[in-house]
Amino acid sequence: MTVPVLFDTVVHAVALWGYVALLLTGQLPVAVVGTTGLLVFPAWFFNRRGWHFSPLWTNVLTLAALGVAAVIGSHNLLDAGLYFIMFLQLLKLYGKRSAVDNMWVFLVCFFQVVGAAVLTSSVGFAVVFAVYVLLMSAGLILYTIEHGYDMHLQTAAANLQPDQPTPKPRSENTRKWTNALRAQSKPVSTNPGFLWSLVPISFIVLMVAGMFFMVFPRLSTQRLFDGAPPRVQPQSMSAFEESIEFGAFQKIQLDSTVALYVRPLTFPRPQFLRLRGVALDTFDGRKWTRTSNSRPGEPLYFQITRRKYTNESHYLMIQPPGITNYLFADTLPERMLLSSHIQYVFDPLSQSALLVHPLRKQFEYTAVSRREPLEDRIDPEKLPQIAADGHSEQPAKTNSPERALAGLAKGVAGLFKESPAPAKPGQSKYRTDRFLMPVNPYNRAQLQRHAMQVRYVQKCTQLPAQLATPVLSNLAAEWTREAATSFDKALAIETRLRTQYQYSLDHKAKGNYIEDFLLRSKEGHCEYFATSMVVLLRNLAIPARVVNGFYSVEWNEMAKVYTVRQRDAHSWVEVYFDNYGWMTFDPTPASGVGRPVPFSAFMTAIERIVDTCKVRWYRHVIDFSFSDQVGYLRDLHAAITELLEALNTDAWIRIDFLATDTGEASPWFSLTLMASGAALLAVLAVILVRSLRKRRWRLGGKRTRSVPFYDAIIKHLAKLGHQRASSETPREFARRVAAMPGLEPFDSITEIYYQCRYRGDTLTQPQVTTIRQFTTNIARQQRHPRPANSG
Amino acid sequence: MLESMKSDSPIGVPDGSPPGTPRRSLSYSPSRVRRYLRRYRLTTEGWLVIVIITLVGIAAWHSGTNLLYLMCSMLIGFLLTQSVLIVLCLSGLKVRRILPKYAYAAEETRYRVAVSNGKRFANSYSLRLIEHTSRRRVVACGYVARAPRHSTAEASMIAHFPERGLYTLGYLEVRTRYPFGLSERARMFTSPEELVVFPPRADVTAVFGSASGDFGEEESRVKGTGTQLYGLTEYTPGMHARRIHWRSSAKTNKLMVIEHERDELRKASVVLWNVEPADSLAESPDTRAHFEQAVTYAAGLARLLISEGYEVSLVTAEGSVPHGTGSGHLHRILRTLATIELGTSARPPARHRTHGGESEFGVVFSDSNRNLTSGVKQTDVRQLDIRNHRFVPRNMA
Repeated sequence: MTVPVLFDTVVHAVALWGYVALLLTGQLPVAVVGTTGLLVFPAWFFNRRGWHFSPLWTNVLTLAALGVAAVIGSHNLLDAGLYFIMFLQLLKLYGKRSAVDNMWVFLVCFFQVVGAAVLTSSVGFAVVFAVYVLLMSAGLILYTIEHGYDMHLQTAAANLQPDQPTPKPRSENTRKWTNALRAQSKPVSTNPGFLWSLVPISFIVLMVAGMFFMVFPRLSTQRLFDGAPPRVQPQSMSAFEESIEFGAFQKIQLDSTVALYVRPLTFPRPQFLRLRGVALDTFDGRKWTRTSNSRPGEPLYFQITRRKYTNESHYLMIQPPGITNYLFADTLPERMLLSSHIQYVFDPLSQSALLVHPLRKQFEYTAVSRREPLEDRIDPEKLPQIAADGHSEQPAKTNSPERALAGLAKGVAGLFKESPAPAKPGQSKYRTDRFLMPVNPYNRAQLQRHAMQVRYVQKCTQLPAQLATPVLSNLAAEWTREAATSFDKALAIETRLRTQYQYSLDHKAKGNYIEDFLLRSKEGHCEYFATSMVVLLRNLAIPARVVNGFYSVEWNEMAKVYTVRQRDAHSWVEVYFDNYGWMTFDPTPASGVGRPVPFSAFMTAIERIVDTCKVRWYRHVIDFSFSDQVGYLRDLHAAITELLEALNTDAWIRIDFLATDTGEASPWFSLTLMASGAALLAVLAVILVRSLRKRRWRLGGKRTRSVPFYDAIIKHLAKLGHQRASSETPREFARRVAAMPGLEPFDSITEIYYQCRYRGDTLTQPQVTTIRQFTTNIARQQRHPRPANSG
Repeated sequence: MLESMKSDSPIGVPDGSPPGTPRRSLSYSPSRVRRYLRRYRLTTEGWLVIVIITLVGIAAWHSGTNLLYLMCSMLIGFLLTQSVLIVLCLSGLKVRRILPKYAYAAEETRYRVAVSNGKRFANSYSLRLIEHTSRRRVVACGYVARAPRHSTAEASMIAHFPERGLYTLGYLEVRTRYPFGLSERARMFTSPEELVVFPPRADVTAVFGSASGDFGEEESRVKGTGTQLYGLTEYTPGMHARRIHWRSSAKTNKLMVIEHERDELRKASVVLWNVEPADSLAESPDTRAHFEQAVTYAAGLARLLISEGYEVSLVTAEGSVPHGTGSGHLHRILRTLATIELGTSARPPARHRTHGGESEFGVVFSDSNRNLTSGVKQTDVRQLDIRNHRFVPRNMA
């Protein structure tokens, strides 16, 4: 294939890839990007035929493109710019006249990819980026060859002009001469080996890029792009909205899109995750609604229950964009730590946190939670009263209720005076919640909050007319006939639903869904169970609300994360008890939670590998921050220090430093491995080079153009001052040199050289010995030159 | 093979250091750094990339978008990879000219340059070869798209020598922008070689043709085996029967045979009296240009005459090239004309001796007062009328 054809193809591939990059972001209309992208194909044929738009037409159309882009993307400057770039790319392709014009195509494509980088943070960009580097490497290399040939022709043409005293490479006359010369000569051709050489070059570029990416100091001002208004609403995930249509979960639970990655930061990791998202209080028979009490900038401090009987667990939540605005945390959230530039609101009544604007990019935050295993729940009325000045409840050492009770019996109760974690710059402050604090009757603000909470709890007992029926009321009363306390009643309803009802994703209930579910179909998904339990409890005047979140058991060992998918969306119940707060109940049968992944083992493995890539992409690229850089530096410093100490104290023979307390490899274990690998490679390289040298000696006779040992000796002799003149034959030179003291054997060595050089002899062992001795001798003379009068 | 120049000279500016200067050891020295920097320059594309790196870097810093940092790093990756591979591309190269014996001025000349790539593992790509004379003038350029590793590639050099003369091809510069075209690096190879450039090939038929006629032709009146009729004579035994002229034999009733004249080679001399003339030509402001034109015409005339079968000699103020014919003789004349210079000293005129009226003179550049043509009929002398670009008889010039 000739270089011009290959180059043209690569240029169009690069241009096409720019459109693919923009298309993969999903932020621009597919119709616009797709249509303009498809016009790249005809451009290839257009160019191959040697056609091109005239410069005048190109300029006019560029102005027109600017106007169209301004109109289409008038709502957003970035959009308008990207539309213009897309149109401009087409004009550059259709107006291409010389090799230099291809550089404009590359430039515009670069800005297309930059636009994609601004619009997306998906792991798909990694693929886009890698392919882009490969294509750009190919394009630039071919450009260099093609443009180099052009420059050569221009130089020749300028030189050939008889009337030009000083060559002007870009004059019209030169262009004519260049074209004439081009017509005379054959185009440059290439071979498959050239194409293969692109791969290592692209790899080198990627490696260098990765290195610089790591060392660029991440000191940002965060003003340019994040302040822009959201371009598209997040993907509709109706389980996590202000108002949720009943039955939404049926569709969601068939969707395997990843909603979250959760990395446990504390050890040991839990066996499952119950991520709490939004609590809904109002039900009108068709949909659940959250009464908004959101306050911007409210500290992200949750207070769902006053009881704290387990240790805090820390989780790193990696949330892809476009899923939901809600923030999630394990069962009983304590607090969340978000980057300062993320704007959120917090609803202190429903204990839900959500973003003000949907983010275009993946983001991560740390959630601190306490777990509340269902089997550890205790009737709040049987718990000792929480002291007003109570201390933190000691964490239970096991999950058994007896142990928990024993811990409580020690009189450890209350949590409000727990000292907050020190606030870090850019993170929300941690402070105690207010509305569950004992109310000071003279504090008006506290009274107002208390009133709000009372009203909220009252709202959590309200029912729509069609559900406040005697049938349901009687059913609730019948199920809770033997229960004495509110807790017992809730437990009875939960147990009844879990044991006597079936989990099903089929939509079997009709008409009055809840009544039909409870009395006739007795099959449904978590939404039915949770809503039914809330309805029954509210029929008993017990405040209850529905909580939507996720329940995941999908642990990815490679990435060390829980993968939370849309299909893991789950609905459960929180019941309010005085002096305790909200307690979690889950009436869904066990078959309805933590369902196995409905894929083959192979597909599951592939899915997990993809998830691992995504997590690592998010963690090490998208969210790579200054603190990560500092962390790596600290790790490096610690590793070096440890290594030096180990060397100083002869402790390096111990191997226990390789593992940390958590059982994971210490950071400098990798460093040691890398250093060992590098040393091994160096040794291998030295061995290889030495063996090659020896091989050259052995094969000296087979070489036709030169004899290596003779060349080496000539170099040594030259350093000693015996330089062979160009007019001298080797024998003449040998006669001259052999006359010198200590260099007599050179005569016979020259004869050996003649035999090898012209007769094709191979060196014998005595000859090799002679040559080696002579070489050693002259090398020694070189190091210790003889005095001038010595001989 | 040409030797790589190890001097501090910048691209295209040789310093004339003698070939074979021993290579200095590989160590840091400011001059080495300076030399490297002089031979390395960023191209327009390279500067563009630096500007883009700056802009994208600012955007990345401002927005904290890591993917912009990644794009920025990619561009830096391209720049650094370019800096390393461009050095690798030019290392291990040797070049050797394969020159022709002569070239003509003012026309395209091609010759080859063998580029040997001694590297074991890496090919070299996109090598531009630029030939400089010792006067730093670019006279030829060539291109090698690919020099495979451990192999030799040949470049076809397109040369153009504007003037005649002996050119010393002093420096062969090898430039490359491989791999990404963001920077350019040059390496100079020194090995002066000489190439004689003949005067331009001018078509003098139009100039000389009108005045030529039977220029130089003369009856020899000696019997021989030529084509012209010498006479009729009576047949004697031993004569070839084919030569019998039957019509005359019938008229005279005796056997008559035809006798032919001996064919003589026509001889001409081209006189280029390279002494600054003292007559009206000397008053011309562009005597030099006229002289060059005269040299061109002299060369064209010699070529024309030899191609028409003349024995041609060249007469100059320094000496003469004797009569001869054939392409070898033409090259001898052209070589003399290639290096002839216009002298100013009044050397004693070398009177050209003619050989009994056997030759005629086409005088193309001389002092009209000078008598160079003793023994020759003046009507057989053609003098170049340099202003009107035509040859005229000497007495009319």
